[in-house]
Amino acid sequence: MASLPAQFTDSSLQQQLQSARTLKQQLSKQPQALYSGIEALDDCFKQVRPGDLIEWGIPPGLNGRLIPLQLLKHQIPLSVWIYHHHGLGVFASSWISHGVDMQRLFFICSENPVSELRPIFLEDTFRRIIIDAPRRFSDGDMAFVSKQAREHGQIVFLIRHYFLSQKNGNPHASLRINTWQSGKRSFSLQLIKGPVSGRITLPYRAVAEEHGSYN
Amino acid sequence: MQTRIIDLAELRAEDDFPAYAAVFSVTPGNPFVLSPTAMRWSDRISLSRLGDCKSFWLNQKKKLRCKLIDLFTPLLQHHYGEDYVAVFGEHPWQCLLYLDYQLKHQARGLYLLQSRLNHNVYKTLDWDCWFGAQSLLADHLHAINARGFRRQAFAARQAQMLRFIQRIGVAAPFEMNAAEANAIQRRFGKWLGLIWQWSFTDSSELQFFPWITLRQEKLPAVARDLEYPVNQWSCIEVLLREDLMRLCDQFKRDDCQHINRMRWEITLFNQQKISVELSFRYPYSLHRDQPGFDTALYQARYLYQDLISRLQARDTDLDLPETMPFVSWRIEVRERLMLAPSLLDLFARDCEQIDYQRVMALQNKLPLAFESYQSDASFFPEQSFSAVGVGEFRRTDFDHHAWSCGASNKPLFFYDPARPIESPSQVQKIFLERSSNQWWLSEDALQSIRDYFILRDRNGRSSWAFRTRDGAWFKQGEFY
Repeated sequence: MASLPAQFTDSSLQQQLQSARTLKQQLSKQPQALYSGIEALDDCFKQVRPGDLIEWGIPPGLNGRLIPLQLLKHQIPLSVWIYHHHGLGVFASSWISHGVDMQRLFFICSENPVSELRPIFLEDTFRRIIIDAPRRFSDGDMAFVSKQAREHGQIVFLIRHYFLSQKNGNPHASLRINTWQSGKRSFSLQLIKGPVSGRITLPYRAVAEEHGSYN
Repeated sequence: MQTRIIDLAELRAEDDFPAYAAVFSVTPGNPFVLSPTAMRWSDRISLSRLGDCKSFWLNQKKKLRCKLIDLFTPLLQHHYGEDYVAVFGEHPWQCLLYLDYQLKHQARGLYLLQSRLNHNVYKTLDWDCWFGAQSLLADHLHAINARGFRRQAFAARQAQMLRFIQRIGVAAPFEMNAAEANAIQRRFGKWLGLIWQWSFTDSSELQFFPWITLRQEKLPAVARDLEYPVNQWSCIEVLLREDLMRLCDQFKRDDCQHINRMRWEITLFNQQKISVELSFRYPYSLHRDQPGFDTALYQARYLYQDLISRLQARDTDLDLPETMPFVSWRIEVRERLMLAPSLLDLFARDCEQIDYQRVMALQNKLPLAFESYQSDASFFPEQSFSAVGVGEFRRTDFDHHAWSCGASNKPLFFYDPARPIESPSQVQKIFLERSSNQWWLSEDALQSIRDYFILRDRNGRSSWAFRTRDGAWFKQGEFY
């Protein structure tokens, strides 16, 4: 069980209430940890703090990874994208064209990241860790990764190659979202777990540059 | 009008990396500072073969975005103090000759013979200098009992050549550099012919230069005979940590010592000896990693896991323990580098506040390397970017956005090489562009034409494909 903040050790109810208000004010003053510049998207990630794990449901072929990518565009700290897609490599030009700072984003290929790349999770070198469709990722791995993220103040994205549902929950994730490109002109986000729930639609041009009638 | 500043310390050609270095120092220093291959020329002069670690130094130069002179000067100052003279050049004799000249002029510091200034000064060296430098060479040839070398005969040949020069009135060797070495050899003997050849050669070949490699002092090693056989990593790790501490003690706490490779020779329970190598992507300081030695132990663990799985696969039908125990081992340093702490501080220098030193240290602990990319100026997808090492200098000489903006409607992951597919049917084909990059390089220019499409199936799944001129289809990527 997490320990109580020092303010809540106050004995009287009134003092506790005052302390709670002060804490809320302090939290609201903190800059947003994940920022994309897209208002609707930023509203979803307003509550995200260092130490959080965000689970994404993005089946292949639906171009949904462009949404988590939006959160890695603006002044990102050192970040690592751990991927494992059969026979596919990183097409760096596309990442650069979306405005990702490739000096700060590193890639590494692993199908079993927690076992194979343990040192990454034991240090705070990378402040953002994206685990993209790992082949093996047990509940124990999830607990380990979220514990390490809390300890080091990292934000972890865990991308699943299937849509998430409320039927199978994830107590370690603070936010669970499905994303996909819906049709030619928009992207959709379905919030499964988080401060708000429901579906958000983002116009294609907010996420990527439009090329005439291509999309 | 645009003005261009001529930097006299600049190398004449960009890839003109010196092959040898001659270093004079008043205080005796480590001769292996610049390369693991060195030679003791005299009490105060050592020669180093830089070609053996050319890629390492070029990599450091690239990372630090500095000139060679700025890379080596702090390093030499750290090891030899201010009182040193170093000459870097293409042949050891040229380095020695120019070093002798600089010593006569009581100069100090580092001189690159490939730089415009030093090359021009080298051309002006007179006969006194040329003959003067030969006295040490004669001592050396005499000491090693070089085949066909007799001191008196050599002195007589030198006198003969000197008379010839006085007669024809040539002021400096470079004025008659057109004379072939064979001609000099015929007239003044083998050794003067060779010295003539060494003086003007552009090749880094030794050409019978009497090079004697200095043996490295014994490299640190530790051995352990176990009281009981062990096969669990948790036990092995504790013992290995102790051994690494013992190895560290052998380095005498020298902060400059960095390890590139270590050999771990393991004796198995069946007395079979197996050697595995712990190699580090970046020079590893054992001293700085104590007391945990995490980096070395991670690399040892990957080797242990790999070894055990190979042994299990091999011995699957034999009546042997499932995990073969170890009964003894020996760890020895196979390759090491002397890096001045100042150089490490330069490595650690934040480039736009990115602490690459930490990423490199983390990478040393991983079984795989990180991938890092930069864009390149090409419309061809496979050539539109390239991989770069962690912290390596990235090209900034063109507008990256202009070249990469065309890729914004392309997927984030791609196949390299593209995979051949059947002609797509029952999918929506959205034409993207026609590309014919570098058509001038192929025999049939039309063959370089590619028509790119997005293929979208009924479920809305998209992939990126192209069709060649002859109608063949290839899948280039997936919209993940």
